[in-house]
Amino acid sequence: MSELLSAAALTKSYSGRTVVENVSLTLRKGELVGLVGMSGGGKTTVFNMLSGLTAPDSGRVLLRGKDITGQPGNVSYMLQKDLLFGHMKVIDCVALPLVIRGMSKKDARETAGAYFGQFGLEGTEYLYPAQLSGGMRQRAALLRTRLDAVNGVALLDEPFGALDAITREKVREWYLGIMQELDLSTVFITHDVDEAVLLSDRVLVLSGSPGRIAGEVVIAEPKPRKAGFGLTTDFLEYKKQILGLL
Amino acid sequence: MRKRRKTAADFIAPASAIAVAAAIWFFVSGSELVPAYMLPSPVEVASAFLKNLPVMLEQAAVTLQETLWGLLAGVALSFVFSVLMDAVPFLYKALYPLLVVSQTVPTVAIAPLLVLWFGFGMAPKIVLVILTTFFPITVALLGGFREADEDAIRLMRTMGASKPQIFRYVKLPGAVPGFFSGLRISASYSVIGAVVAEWLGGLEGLGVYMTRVRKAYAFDKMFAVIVFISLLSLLLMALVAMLEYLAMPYKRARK
Repeated sequence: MSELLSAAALTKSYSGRTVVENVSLTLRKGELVGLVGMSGGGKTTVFNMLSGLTAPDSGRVLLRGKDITGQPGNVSYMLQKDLLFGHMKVIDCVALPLVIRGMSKKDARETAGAYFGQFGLEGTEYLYPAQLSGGMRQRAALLRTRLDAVNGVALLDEPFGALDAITREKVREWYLGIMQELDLSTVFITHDVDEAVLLSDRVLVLSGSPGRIAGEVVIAEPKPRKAGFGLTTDFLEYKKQILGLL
Repeated sequence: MRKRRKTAADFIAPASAIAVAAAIWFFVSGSELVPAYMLPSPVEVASAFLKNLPVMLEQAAVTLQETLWGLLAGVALSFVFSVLMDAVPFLYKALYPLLVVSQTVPTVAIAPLLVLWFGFGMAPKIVLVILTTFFPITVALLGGFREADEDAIRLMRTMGASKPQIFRYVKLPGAVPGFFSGLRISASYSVIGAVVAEWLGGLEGLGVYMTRVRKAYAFDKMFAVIVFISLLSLLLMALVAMLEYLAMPYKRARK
């Protein structure tokens, strides 16, 4: 598998305190990589550097071999909040990345609208975000992220974190189902080890202060994963390995 | 946040307060505690109001023109200033203190100067309305721009959005509710601004009419003009509330 996104030796300090140090990672085409770590451990800082929002003090970020360090607009990034803009209709919120790239509103709506069924959002096109349930808002934000990912790379910062336990389970299951069709290569942040094992091809563990990559656990279970995977001894074994690294 | 439904008490409470105030007024003027020429009774004021309505409407046409032109120009200027001040931090630092100081200058003191500079026509009145309306709107807009959701801006940047695009999709919509609060205050100030400017030098308008009836000691007519001006201000504020309602359909969206 070819390497899509790679980060080499990223280090970042804020007001004299080193938050992350020497973080390197790679994302190959079609992969889902989980980034696990304690709260405040620097996961979001790593994402800010990968997305180009923040320039690292040292290190580089490459997209298909091209240096994109400190240059936002190349990698799609879903922040912790869904950030659907309340003054816009759902379809326009979702199609926004296309409009920003210069597509006409009409064409953007058409392109985005084609995905509404797949994302379980049919009928919500002309509602306002405040009229959607938490799960639907999250799916809409995921769809916007998908449409923004022109390079096929997405960063998801705790994509299911804001949801209540039951909705979270449902959205996660739905995501497991459509993940293969989305043609996205994804790094996602979670502090939920179960979630990381359930979804990821590989799990990177960020630990310590400053945060460093403590190790990598490859989840060999084939995809799409079966519903019972979470109850197997293999699952527990992966979980044990990750917890050992944290 | 959703607005709660209005209950009967929401109407009864202010209505009863007005009724009590009118009753006290009626009693005070009827009992001759205060001479009738100083405080006409509500009935006299109401009859003066009806009798003079055509004249007041005629004069109001002039005052309203000054008000609306001033308000429009004030909004336009506020918009230009707040956008520039938001985009250029140096301008913000340089101009904000001046803005605040400009608010402390009494309009009554400037109006004669404006007459001196711009003559007895509409221009000095419009300028005074601009001066009174500019500040609340500029401050409201600036507040809205500067308090834009940082995460929303970060999201826009990850999409590769330009500064104007961030302004268009995040900052501007975020400032709309504040803008209307500012506009409501400005709308109420603007009528008063125009009237004050007319008092201090003018040939027509409600302010001129007011000084005329005052000089004639026609207190019933004077009270009638005061009521009329209040009604005009309320009308303008209602117009702003209607614009606000139309501008934010998403506030009315229900699950």
